Amino acid sequence: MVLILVIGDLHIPHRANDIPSEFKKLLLPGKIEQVFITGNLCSKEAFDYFKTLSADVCVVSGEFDEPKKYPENKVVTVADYKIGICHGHQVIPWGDKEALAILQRQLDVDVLITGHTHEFRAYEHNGKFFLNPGSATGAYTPLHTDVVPSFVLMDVQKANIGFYVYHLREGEVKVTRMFWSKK
Amino acid sequence: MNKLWVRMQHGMRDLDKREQEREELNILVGKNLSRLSQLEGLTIGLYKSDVLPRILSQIVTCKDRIAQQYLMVILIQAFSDEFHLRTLDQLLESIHKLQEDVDICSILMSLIERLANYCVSHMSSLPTDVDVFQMFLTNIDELGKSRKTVPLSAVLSLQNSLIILVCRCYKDKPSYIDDIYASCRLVIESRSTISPDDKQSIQQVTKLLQTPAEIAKSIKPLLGLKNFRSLMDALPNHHKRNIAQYLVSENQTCISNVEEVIVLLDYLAPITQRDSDVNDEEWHDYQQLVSYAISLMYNKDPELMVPILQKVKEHFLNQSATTVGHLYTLVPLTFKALSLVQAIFKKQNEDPNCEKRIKYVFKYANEVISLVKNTDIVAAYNLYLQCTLQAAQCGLAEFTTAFLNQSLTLFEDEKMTQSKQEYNGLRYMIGVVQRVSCLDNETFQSFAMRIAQLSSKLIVVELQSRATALSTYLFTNLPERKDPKLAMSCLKKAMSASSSVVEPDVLLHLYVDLFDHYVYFFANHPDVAVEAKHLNAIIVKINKLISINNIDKSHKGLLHYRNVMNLITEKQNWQTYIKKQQKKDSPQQEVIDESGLNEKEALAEASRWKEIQI
Repeated sequence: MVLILVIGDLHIPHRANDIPSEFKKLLLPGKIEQVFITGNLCSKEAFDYFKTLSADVCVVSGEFDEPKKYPENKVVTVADYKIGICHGHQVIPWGDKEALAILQRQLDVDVLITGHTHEFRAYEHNGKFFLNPGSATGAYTPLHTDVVPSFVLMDVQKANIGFYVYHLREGEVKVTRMFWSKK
Repeated sequence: MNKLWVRMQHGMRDLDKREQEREELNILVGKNLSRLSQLEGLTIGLYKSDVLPRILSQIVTCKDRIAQQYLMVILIQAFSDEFHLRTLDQLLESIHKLQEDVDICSILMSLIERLANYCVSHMSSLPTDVDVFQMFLTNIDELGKSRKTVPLSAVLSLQNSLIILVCRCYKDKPSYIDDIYASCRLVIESRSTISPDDKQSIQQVTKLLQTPAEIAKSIKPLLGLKNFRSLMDALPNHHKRNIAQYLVSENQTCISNVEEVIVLLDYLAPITQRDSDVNDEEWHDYQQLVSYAISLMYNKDPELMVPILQKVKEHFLNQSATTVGHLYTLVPLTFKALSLVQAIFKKQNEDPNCEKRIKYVFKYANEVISLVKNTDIVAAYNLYLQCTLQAAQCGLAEFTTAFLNQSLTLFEDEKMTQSKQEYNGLRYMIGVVQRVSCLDNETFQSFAMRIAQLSSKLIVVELQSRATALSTYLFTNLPERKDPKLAMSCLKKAMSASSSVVEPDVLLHLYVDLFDHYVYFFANHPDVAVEAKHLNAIIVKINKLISINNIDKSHKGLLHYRNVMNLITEKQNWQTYIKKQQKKDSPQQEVIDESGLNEKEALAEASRWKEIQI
């Protein structure tokens, strides 16, 4: 069992002050093996915070991160799964399922993780899984109003991947759960 | 008994024996006093008029340091806090008359602490006929002035216990905190200054400045004070900056009106102007803190938020007052403005002035961004595009056009070229414009064509091809304004540009990516007239490239190629198009693709794909 934190679009300090304390309480060092950050951190302090949770932190570049600081995308193999990470502003049209599928084919991955839209999404398409953890800080985006802070914990096992989705609504953390396995 | 004590002091020679006898006498005296305090008939009146004056007179007149110290402590411990409250004036007066070398500070401190605890545990306010606070403050002032042997840090620590008393028992009198600060300032001045080596005093002043916020769990109590700044200024530079840092990072206080903003900005002066002893890394950290401070400033009422935005901008543009870099201040301000626009727009049905307000805030954003561009052209470019999108969401065609034009102007600026971010910039612009729906067809098309043109002029051929391929999506962004011909022409241009790429490695990736784009339009926009023959031509090209250059099987481009071919194979199977069952895994799981076609339609679609020769 490998526990991976999937999180991103924090936009600290341009658009948000900090990760909500209700979330920070749940993120304890030592429990998380890897951290996948979809991008737009945007500060070194935010990066350092994730380093306290796990030594293995993987970041890809959002359009407001320092140019060339992080790669455009990354592919990580965990157990039997090839997992791709990319911020997603590079995929046009933004958030389009078919366009994201092009990226999935290009990276040749089973699971594609992207961000950018500040909206949680999880679905299967053509036998592959697509995940967007949303914005952990509920940061502003012109794309839509009422951004709900969210992040995802992935539990990668041989048989399947468990996704634990955390949303912060009106001061309360709500968790939902789903599973997926590749055929 | 006291006289016996004093006589004992001078009589006995043997130190150990003397200590032991003293200890026994101590206990005896203590027991007597406490027995006295427990006497049934001892009313507060009797205590005040008869008992206490006698005890105090004994203590004062003996003029013996050790006796005085012990006896005062026992007195305070033996009698109840309620009694002390009523007789505070007598107690304090006597404390002053004690010998020079008695540790008055610890006596006073224990009194203050006891009374503070008493107040908290009894939930009642202190007696209104007696100004406990004023008595203590006057006393401490006296102490600071008359007893020069008492170290500064001891006086300040007394003030600290007094401030705790105030925060707990005089919540409705914030001016008391101000009075304490003024008094501290005076006593510091009377000793001339706080030496940077006097760590104790520095610690005490730091505590004084932070305690009200710590107890209230918010920095708001500090923002209403007149003397905060002057006390903070008594600290050495490094410690002043620590206070500023504390104000920003130790709390989640929302600063919601202009008056508080002005005060906070004033308190942050130590970190908004770079001191000479600050190195580069520290300066970056301090500027970052300023960004955090700005993010704390928020009011959901636009009438109150706009003045905040104006004030902060004004403050940071004043170069004589602050030297914080524009990126740390103007970028967060721009996003605050955009969030405000979004919030105003959300309430458009209730607000008749909605459009006017939004336009005002957009003009503000425009001003702010124009200042950013001198420092960081890429940041300004991205911000103009954010404004473009937000304006489009509000349906403001004029503003959308204006912001987009600003972005285009920056794009063509030489600094943009030097930054080597042109491809990324263009790609971002395409992403934004692809989402814009408020422009009329003519305006939109002219922008789309301009972007396609800029794409075709990128110097690196590979990037030229990629950007042109992405421009295709501009011509299919809305069903009502599709331009299939222009879309097709973009695809073709992208394809022909790719032929100038020399490196087989790069070319393979490019060919396969373009192939996938073609497949996208073949699948989702049949009217764009991508036909099987086009796809077949690309397949031929790719296969040729692979065989000529002996591309390795593990090449990532080949993996992508295989994936696209697999997709096509699947699409050639008519059963792929039949409605699928919804997966019943968990209630929250999103529905699996449900593209439902009937058998006839499915066969037709599949046969379209079968023309592709894989």
